[in-house]
Amino acid sequence: MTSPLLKVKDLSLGVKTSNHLLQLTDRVSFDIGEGEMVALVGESGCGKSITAMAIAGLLPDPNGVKIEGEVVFEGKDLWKGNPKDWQNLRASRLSMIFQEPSSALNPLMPVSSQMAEIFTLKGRPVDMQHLRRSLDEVGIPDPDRVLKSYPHELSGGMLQRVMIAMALLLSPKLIIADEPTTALDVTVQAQVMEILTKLQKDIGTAILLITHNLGLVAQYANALNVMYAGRIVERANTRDFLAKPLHPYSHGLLKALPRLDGTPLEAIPGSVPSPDKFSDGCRFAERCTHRKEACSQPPPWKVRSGNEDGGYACILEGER
Amino acid sequence: MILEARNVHCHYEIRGGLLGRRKGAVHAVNGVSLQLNDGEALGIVGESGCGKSTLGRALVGLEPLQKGEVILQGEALNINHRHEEGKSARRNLQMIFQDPVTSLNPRLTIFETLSEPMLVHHLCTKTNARDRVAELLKKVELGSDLMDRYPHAFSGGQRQRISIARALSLNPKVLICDEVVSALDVSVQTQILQLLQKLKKEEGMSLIFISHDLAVVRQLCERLMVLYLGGVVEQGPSQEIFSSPRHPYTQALLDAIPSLDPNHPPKLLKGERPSAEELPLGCSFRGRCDLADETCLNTPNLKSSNHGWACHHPLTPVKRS
Repeated sequence: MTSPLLKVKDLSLGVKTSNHLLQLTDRVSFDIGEGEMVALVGESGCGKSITAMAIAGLLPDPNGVKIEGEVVFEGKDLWKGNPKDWQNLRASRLSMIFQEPSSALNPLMPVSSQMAEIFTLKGRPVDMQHLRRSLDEVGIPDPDRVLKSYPHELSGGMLQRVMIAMALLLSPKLIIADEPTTALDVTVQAQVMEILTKLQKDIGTAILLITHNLGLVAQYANALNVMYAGRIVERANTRDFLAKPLHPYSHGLLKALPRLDGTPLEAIPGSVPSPDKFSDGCRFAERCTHRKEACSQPPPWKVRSGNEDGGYACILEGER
Repeated sequence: MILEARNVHCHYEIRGGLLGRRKGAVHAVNGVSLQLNDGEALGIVGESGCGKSTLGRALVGLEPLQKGEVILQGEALNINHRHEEGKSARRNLQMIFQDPVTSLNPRLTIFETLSEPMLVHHLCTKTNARDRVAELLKKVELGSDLMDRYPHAFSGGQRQRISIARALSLNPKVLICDEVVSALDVSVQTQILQLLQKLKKEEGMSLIFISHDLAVVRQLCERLMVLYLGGVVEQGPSQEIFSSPRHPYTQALLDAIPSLDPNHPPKLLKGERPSAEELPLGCSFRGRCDLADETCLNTPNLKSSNHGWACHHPLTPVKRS
């Protein structure tokens, strides 16, 4: 494989609190190739959103955050470069879609000014025709009305489409979509995901999909990384994963998912540990039915047989 | 039948302008009737803005009814917050809310939160309150050593368990759960669903389970009611609705859910939901339905049978193989 579009290598993020350092993620690594959709899956507090923020260079205060590892985008290590470069990169090469469209947009500006701002910041003339076209592309029926509207005048589904249109305005190579449909109804979710995959195919934009919804992953993503308590516990292409999840947590997640056919649920006992209780050993051990003594040691990374891109962090062998 | 609602309407006036004149009304719930049998779980599903939460709140008397009535154990519900007479109704109908963070008082310990309703209703005395609270916590699978802590010390799933314990403290006949698992992670969600399942069985309670997540409702409820724009479009035994929906909207809702099988991609529903301020004439789903024609300009009636639907062109039933 040639060098991927985005390469995250051993990314560890810590937040400095008043008296100690809270380690939120631990050596997170994954790649995204051109035009791929890769998912980062996990429950709240597993570190998926902060990883996304780190890739986009949006961590609130660089002084309060400790960062180790590399984020290499198009061959450049972003954290080693000048922060100014990052700003140039955002919107034109890399952009982000957030979970809550109503709070991600400025309530005091009409949609047209917010979209035009992207051109202004890049020092380009505002092209209203371009704005209209981009809204049209994401399936907004009446672009002129939407351009004049304020965010409160539009529905959640419409706002998320505006967000996608904004993210795509300068045809970026990578879009980071952080729970893009969580705040939306299922029927609207299907519409929004359809738009994203269409753009992925048409423009060749790669998408990092951050979600807790395994259904979305199964339907749309090429590959996925399962995160638990700050670590990636399993990586696989979607087909392999659905056929045979290897990590006990992945297994549990799939079993705990309510199905439409009414298959009885199996709960995972216990709850996700908070970052101040993260251990060196396997962090899933206390909820795991396969726990052994060796689980107090850091789990080894094992490669999936038959597909070397995949793997999982557990002492268990693949058979279960 | 333990709880019945007849032709419930909830409308909200919109006022505006200098003189605060009436500009219109939001029709949140339009003539919904429902029956809940003893020990049964009824699921109310629909997308945001369909009126499912308003209906739930109206059932417990938290929203005023413009029209219609709610009947609990054969008597019209009278939730009067000042009088003794409404007391039994308040006791027998309990509600659990979506957000376990905002629905618990942050300044009360768990013991205070759980014992207050029992003291008000004379279900315990100050001397045996701690034992009763310990019992309740055991029912929701929490340790009794936690009762002197404040809500902030608990995780989302634990707080939802405390909310359930509070609702159970009065031994209600009917429990109304409004999106109780949507704020929780998948692994915790399952735990809470299993707890509700267990309580329903052991306590013989009837449940009304309001949710936007059809798969979750499927786990818990024997009967199902699908709402669209404040009206019932389909109702019946959940198994039947899931295997063979008759209303096109129910089908569209089911088709939109991303399944784990990549060979069955979600299907798209065209258009946007109309605003509840200007309800469309005739069938409310008309504008988004592929089957719609002139007959749909007449409002379809909900068939009042075990499995009923409000549609002029119902889908053909799927034969079971």
